[in-house]
Amino acid sequence: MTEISAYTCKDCGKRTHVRHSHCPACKGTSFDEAPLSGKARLLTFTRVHALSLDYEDRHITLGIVEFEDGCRALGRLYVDDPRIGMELTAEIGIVRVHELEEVKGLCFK
Amino acid sequence: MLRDVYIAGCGMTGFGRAAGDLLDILEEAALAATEDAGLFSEIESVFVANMGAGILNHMSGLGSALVDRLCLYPTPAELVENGPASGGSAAKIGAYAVGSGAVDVALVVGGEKMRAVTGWEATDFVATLSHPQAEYIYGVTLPALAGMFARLYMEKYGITPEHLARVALKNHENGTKNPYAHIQQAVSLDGILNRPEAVVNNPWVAEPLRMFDCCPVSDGGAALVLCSKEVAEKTGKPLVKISGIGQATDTHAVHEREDPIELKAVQLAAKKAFEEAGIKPSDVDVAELHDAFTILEIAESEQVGFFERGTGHIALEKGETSLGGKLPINPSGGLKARGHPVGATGVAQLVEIAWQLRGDAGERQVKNARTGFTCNFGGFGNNVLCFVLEREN
Repeated sequence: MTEISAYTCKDCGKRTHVRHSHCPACKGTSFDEAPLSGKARLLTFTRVHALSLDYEDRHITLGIVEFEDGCRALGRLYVDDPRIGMELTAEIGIVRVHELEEVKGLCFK
Repeated sequence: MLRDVYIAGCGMTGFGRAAGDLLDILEEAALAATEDAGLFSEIESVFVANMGAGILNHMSGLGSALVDRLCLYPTPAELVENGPASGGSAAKIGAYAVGSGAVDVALVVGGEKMRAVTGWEATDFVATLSHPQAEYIYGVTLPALAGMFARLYMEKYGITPEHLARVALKNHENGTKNPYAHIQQAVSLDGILNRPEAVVNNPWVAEPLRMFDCCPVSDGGAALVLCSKEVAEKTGKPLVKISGIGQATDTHAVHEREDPIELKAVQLAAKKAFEEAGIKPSDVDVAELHDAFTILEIAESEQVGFFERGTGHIALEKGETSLGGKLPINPSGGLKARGHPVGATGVAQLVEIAWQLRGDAGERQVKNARTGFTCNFGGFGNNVLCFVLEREN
């Protein structure tokens, strides 16, 4: 996987990371699919200490962000001192190694 | 509903680590409730609530399995799965079965055996209810979702770690009065927050939440016998009516909510339950809220309408939600101390409120309780059931 998608409603322009059959804003049913990337603002975060055996890290940081176009997503945070409201840049990276398979997802730096 | 529905019998197993298997748990809870009601062969339908037997216990078809254990065949039976709100859903469906007139007596049994696996495996199992592509792949757990929720809620309303710890203190204290509670041990602010050794006693789970902000992983079962008024009157027990049921859903992925700290499904489910019962939140004498995390008790106490937004922690601080306070919340110890066998919790909340309204709650009895409320929170607030119970006679 080299990109992660977002879906834009062709009727109202609402953009979501999660795929739905109907637009959550206008119930439209036609979407354009495009990669989710660019700058985003941190809405909230947590440093998770109780982790699965998949992780060698002592803790990981997860956060919810809002992209400039209003689309929101959750992903891994790679910043030392996260603060609500800070600007981040989204990249695709390895977020987990599960049963020897690399899982790719959104990483925010 | 076409006719009123009553709780004729209540039963619970001791929560914690069960010696027997899941079917033993369901049997024990079911027999306690049917014995309490004095109704057994009269049962016309069985609804079993469970979230994880397929993953945790390698079992399925629990409705049929329980009917066989009880030799209740050919009584119809089914399994109801709705995450941590499975118990509330089974109770709702049972109530609708009686309320529609389809049956006169229904047995609702919730049970879970979570300690068959390691703590991490149990946490991971619960995390499977998160969005598979947008949440779960990142290592999201329910504590992680609660941590992100808590950080925003605390910042917005000035809630401190001490307020969260006070939820744990209150509910652990209540748990010492509940012989069915998983944890029957009081804790102190010094022990879990203030003293240097508190960081060892109470380590981080998902910041800003620590271990004592999270419910334990529990085995346990709870059961209700639901019936028509005509049947309830014959039992000779105080009449406890299910006078309002509300259910609502919200987005699967938490990040899709317009405001991640608005628990819209909680708000809507509570509103519907109160409207159906024809009462206001201020009419409630005792409540069981879904405190899987301490922050949730505070947030739910506001969002179901008991307290103004941003004042739940102040009511807690003043002791209004303690036993003896204006509105005792979680007299059972809540999920925090009674425990949280996920499929059983919604039923256990109703059992506690029914006991409170009947005057059968022992040391933790809320005086003159006539109206009670429950909130059973599924997912991270994406499927919520609220109930209003009232004592009639």
